[in-house]
Amino acid sequence: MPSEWLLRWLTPKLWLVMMALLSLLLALQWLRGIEVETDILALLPVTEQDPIVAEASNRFNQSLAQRHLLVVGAESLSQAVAAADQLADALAEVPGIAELEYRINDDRQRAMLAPYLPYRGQLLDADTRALLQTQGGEALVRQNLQLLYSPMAAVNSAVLADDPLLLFYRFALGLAQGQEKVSLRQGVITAEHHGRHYVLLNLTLADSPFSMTLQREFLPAVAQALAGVRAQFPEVELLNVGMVRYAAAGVASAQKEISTIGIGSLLGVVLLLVVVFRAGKPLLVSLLPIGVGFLAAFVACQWLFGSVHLLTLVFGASLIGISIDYSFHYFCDRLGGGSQWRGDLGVRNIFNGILLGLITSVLGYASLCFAPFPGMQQLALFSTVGLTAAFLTVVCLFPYLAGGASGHHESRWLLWSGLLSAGLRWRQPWGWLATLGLVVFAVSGVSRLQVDDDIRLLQSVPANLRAEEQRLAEILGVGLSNQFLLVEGRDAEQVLARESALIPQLQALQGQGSLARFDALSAHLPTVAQQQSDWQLVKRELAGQPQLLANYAAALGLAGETIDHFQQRYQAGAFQPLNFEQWWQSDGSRPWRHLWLGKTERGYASVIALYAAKPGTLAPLADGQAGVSLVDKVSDISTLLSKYRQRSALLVMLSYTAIYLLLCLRYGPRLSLRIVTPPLAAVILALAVLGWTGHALNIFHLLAMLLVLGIGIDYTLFLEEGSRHRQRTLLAIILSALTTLLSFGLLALSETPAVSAFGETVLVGILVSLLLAPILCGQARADGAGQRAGSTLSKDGVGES
Amino acid sequence: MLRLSLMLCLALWLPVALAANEVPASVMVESPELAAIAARLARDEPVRSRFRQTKAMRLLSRPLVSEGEMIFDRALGLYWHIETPFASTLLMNNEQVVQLNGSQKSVVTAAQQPVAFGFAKVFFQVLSGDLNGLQQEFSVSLAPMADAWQITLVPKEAQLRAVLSQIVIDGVDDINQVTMTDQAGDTTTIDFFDQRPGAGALTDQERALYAF
Repeated sequence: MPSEWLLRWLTPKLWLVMMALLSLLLALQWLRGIEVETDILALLPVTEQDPIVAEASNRFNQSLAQRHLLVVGAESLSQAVAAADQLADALAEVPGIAELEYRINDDRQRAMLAPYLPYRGQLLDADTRALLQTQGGEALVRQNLQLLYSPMAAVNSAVLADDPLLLFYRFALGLAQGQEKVSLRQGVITAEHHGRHYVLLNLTLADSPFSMTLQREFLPAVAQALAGVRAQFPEVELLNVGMVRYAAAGVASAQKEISTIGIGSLLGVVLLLVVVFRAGKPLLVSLLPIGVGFLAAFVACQWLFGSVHLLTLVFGASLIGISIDYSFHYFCDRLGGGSQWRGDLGVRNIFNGILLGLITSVLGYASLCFAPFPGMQQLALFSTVGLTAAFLTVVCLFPYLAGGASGHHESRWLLWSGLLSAGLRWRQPWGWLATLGLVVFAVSGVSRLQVDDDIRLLQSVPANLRAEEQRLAEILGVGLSNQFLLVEGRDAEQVLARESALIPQLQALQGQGSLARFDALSAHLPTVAQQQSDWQLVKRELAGQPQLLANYAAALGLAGETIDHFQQRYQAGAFQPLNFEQWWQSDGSRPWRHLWLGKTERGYASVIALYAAKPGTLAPLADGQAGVSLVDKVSDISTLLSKYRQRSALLVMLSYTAIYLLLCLRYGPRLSLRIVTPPLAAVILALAVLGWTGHALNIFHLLAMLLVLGIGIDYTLFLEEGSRHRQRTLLAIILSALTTLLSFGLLALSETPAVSAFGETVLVGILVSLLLAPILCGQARADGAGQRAGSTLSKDGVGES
Repeated sequence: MLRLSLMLCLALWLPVALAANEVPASVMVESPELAAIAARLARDEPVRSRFRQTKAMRLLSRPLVSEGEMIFDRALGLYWHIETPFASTLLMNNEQVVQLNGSQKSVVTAAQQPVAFGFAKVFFQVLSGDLNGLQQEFSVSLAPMADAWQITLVPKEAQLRAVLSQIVIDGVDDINQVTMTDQAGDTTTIDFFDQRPGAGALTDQERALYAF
């Protein structure tokens, strides 16, 4: 038998070699530094897009993620400013802040307009350009007169002297467009909402919000600073919004879940071991494979992925409930093995069963690798290595650690398991009736099934953070941007030109109410080509029309020399471009610098940030436009989740078929069908339960179904392989199912929908597999397997018949 | 876990294009006389009046004088119709200013062009006698005279002062004259005359004037 050959190798020596290797790797990793990844993005598949686009988008997202905003609101502006002053003072002591923008004492308006001023002859806003192009200089002059006669125009002699045709006046007003809610008052950035005043403190963090050090140092210090302000000004409203809070909440919730699941599972395991085996040795020995498995899994993940994700550890905690199974089988065999029982014989008894169990579990987990989620791949590796290490520990080491026979053989648990075994039998006609009932339940449940591919599956946001974010969006008038256009070109000029070509479409969307707002660099700097053509346009329509200008001057009483100065700007050769580099270095670009991504492998890139766009309206923007890509991570991920949900469904079907065919080699088609039925029924019923409870099906349910197959098939295999020792085997199965149910039941409580979906499915699936397996498998039947089992019945221990 | 949409694009950058120098917040004075005038100006009846606007700009050799008809209605807003030197109509409410010239119209909305609108809003508040609103932006002082009053408004914010140094409002029952002076020394004086108080609610014809 091949197992004999295998068993010769599986000795304590092998185990020691494995441990030595593990220790060495762990020590090496320790020296390099152990990394625990907390960024949820690291779990997601790379959206299937151009790598340069992806890289540039990441750069943009990272720079945004490091921004943090504190808002102080009060009935009066002066009160809000007083409270904000105190907060700003307190922030000086807070670590992790690279930059604080609060008091703005310089004359920023002047500084921002200054770079444009020397070029005012060639800078036109879109409306003025259109007016000159379609209706000519005369229309502009007429508008100017109306403007000057209007009681509401903010044009005075100083403005008119430099800009007699009010071209720059219009351009400057255009620059200020779209900043409705935010203004500078009393030297700070303020917003007004429902008569209340809000002061904004704009922070840039020194490190990624996913840095644990930053979270640990920055957040409590900010909370303390805010508490200080609240103590001094009890009536002010305080908002504290930034990625780092979400990141920290994610870490806290994951840590809580790891300890809940870990401690819960361990307690369950300990309880079962104490109650069933009533001896200290099985307890102590059984904890060893769990520990070794976890350690090996951790080391393997560090080694292969460079870091372990926090969510892997959450899932990994549920591994406790599975890796204990091998120990259960060993000790159940010992319990039922009588006084002649020896460890090495025990291992022989259970070896085929648990090896097949390991293989199917590993296959179950390994099939998760087909999902393109790095997170799932990590989980698969973690579980595979963990289970294998636990298996090896049991097989190699247990005969030496707990090789002697059990002290008490009259275990009532074995008796009960015998009764249960007798009870869980296929009986006519109840079996068929129950089958019919289940089929009806399944069909009606599955027909109710809905699907869900929303990105929110991956998040659980504490309600208070969400409320603060919403409040901020109300105050500022626009929500947070979660889509953008990435515009590429061979140089800045081409990038700006491509951006400018998009702006009319964006404005049209805004007009339809499909887009709340957009921010684009090109709204603040026309391309050099545009400047040149605008210069020509003004020259043709205004500067080159002496009669028009003379009439204008006469109508207003404007001195001739003011007009002369204007005309001089349009003499031949007077055009000088305001180029990107020059503008970029000036204060004029300051508020927009985050939109410029700079050099990429292909050229240069910038971002047009889009706010509150209606779904589906943006796609045409990037269609067929060279160098323009729409980046909408949220919908990209939802699309991807949907695509892989469908693929996973196929994968589930393929896996079940493959396992069935594999089993046919050993058991033949009829018995194989029996073996594969419990897990198959389990996933169908799990689907039906989802349908009936109104939970929408998502990819994580399907991935869990792969695992149900991997684990659920163990029970039928163990029963089939261990049919000689049905009671011991059934007891072992029940014990291991209980711990698995406990672990995944605890996962089902997770705040993260993806994790709880996984837990729920495994919970239902394992329960069904556990109940169906003894009914369908390993029974002493009149068929071939039954004959095989029947021939060895006499060897069995007490209470078996 | 983490709030992905937020993480993806936390646009906390708040572009600021306007600037101001530090100004100490002035203490608001609530005088009973001021409150009485505010109450009188804030009555529900629409204001109908003729106006003459004289804009004296230092750069221009003569003032720009316009004359016309205005209606101020609390619900519909301001109708400002210039008759001479050329016909032109302005319609204004809390959200937008619409300029009508024959078939052409241009719209400035508070949301789209806050700077251009900000100045118009002040004018709107003056005409509607919204002294409470004005006190947010201006230091308000009252000089009561025998049977008339004069209110002087000085902007608190340097941003506004750069355009407007003060507004003086003269009145008896209604506003008779508004004078705006700016930093460059230009003044705009608007005289209101032929007011028709007690003419009742807007007629359908008057309502039609607000259509555009």
